[in-house]
Amino acid sequence: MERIRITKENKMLKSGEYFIDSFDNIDLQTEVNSECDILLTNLSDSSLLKLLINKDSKVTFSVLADKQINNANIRILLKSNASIDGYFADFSKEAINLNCTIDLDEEGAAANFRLASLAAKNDVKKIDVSINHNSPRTYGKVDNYGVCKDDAKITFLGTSYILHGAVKSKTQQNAKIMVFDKASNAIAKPILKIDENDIEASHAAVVGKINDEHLFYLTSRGIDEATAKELITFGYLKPILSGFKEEQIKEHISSLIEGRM
Amino acid sequence: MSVLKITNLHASVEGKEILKGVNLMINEGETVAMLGPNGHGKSTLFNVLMGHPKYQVTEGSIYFDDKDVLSLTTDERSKLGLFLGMQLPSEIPGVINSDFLKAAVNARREKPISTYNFYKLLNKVTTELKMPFDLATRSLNEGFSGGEKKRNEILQLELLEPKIALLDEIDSGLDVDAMQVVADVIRKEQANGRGFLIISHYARLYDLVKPTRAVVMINGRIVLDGGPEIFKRIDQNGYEFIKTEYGVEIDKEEQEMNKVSIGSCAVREAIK
Repeated sequence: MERIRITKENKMLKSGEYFIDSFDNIDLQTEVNSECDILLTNLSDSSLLKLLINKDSKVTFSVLADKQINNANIRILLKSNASIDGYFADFSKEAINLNCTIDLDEEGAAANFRLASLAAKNDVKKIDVSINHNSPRTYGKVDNYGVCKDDAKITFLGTSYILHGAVKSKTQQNAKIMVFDKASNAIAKPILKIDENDIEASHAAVVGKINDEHLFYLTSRGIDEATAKELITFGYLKPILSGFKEEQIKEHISSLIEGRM
Repeated sequence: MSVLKITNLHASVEGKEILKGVNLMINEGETVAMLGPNGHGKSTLFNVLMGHPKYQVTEGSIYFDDKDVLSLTTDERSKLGLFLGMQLPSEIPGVINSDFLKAAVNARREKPISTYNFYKLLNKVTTELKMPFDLATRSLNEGFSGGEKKRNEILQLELLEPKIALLDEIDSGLDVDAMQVVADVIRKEQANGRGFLIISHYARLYDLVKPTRAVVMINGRIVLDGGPEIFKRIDQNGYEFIKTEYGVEIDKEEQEMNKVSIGSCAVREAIK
């Protein structure tokens, strides 16, 4: 099925598959009880994307960033029992500064975000995926995976905020960064803010170098160290591919990772 | 015919000396049983032979024919014809088993193997080892049962065709049927002229693959080197006779179990 191109004119999305290839500011919403798959391949500088996911509708939102982005903002608001599965594949060169805020505004709203980012050379990447639990029984999960090489810097921020009254909500913030070189700089700050008692919340931050045992296992089979590191890194970032349907985009992402390793 | 020659090898881990002057020769084509109590340096020797970064060689030499093994990187040692079947193979999330196997096969070829030929080869060996083919499409060793991991090691042995294979407790975690399958492959590879140095605590594997020699490692040295009657004797009576007949005091193993399990747990968490 061909994706429908989203322009400034179509603001209300029916069930279907869409793509956005260029925008400055765009304001979208989904119809009640719809199922939408949105692919965004061209995040632009200083852009703002707003997405309102109406009652009972389900969204898959896949974002590929493959060039420099100085300041991009994404605001997502979910109504009752609406849900979103988000996938961010960031393999852009140089800088990226991305802010994504998700408001789980009504009961039963759910957001599940996974991000993979690769920073090399002099890249400076700052990514913030934050979730506000504004209502009871809302669910949020953020998994940020990063690989940091050379003199690059990755900062993963993200605040999962459970507001007073958002009882029975569940939230998770995870940030993991694999560091390759001495000059690489990695910061993982998954933050929880909790103003309610009857909830479940967890966060995890891991910054570490590639596992020596893994490297030994692969090299002991004759695979040279560079290729072994590439296999391990690829294995670490690759799960993001599951968020992209089109084969050519999967291949594009794979080649971006390989090219940058 | 290739020869692996270890001379006066000393090696330590985190400043503690484990190998204290190992002398040992293994010929391509022979099968040697390696025995010895836990914690006396058997696995350390295997890891040092393969160049594990945790171990420092402080003295001695390892030659494979005229090649100075200690000057080579781990991958070069593999390409030279050494293979280590590990006691606890690493689980590497996200790395697809077949991608890994293909990279390992290609590492020793001038021209990369075609996808068709690789799958044909993989299909042949997985059938031989009675492994479900879908193991090839899963993350390397992740979620594999103990027996599947060990079969995956033997599968790599078959694909990589080393001159000398070091098998570290390859029989642990195998049920009787799997043991038979693994032993069949080892016997086939023996007939192909491969050499084996095999660590096992059980006579069953040795009964199946019939080593031509047995060596005993105690206190970081090879204290006995002789015929297969040695492992039969140890299987029946333990290591006590080595003390009484050869005057070797056997050092007690130090308890380090907790440290090891915490370490591997955290590492797994870090890379998941």
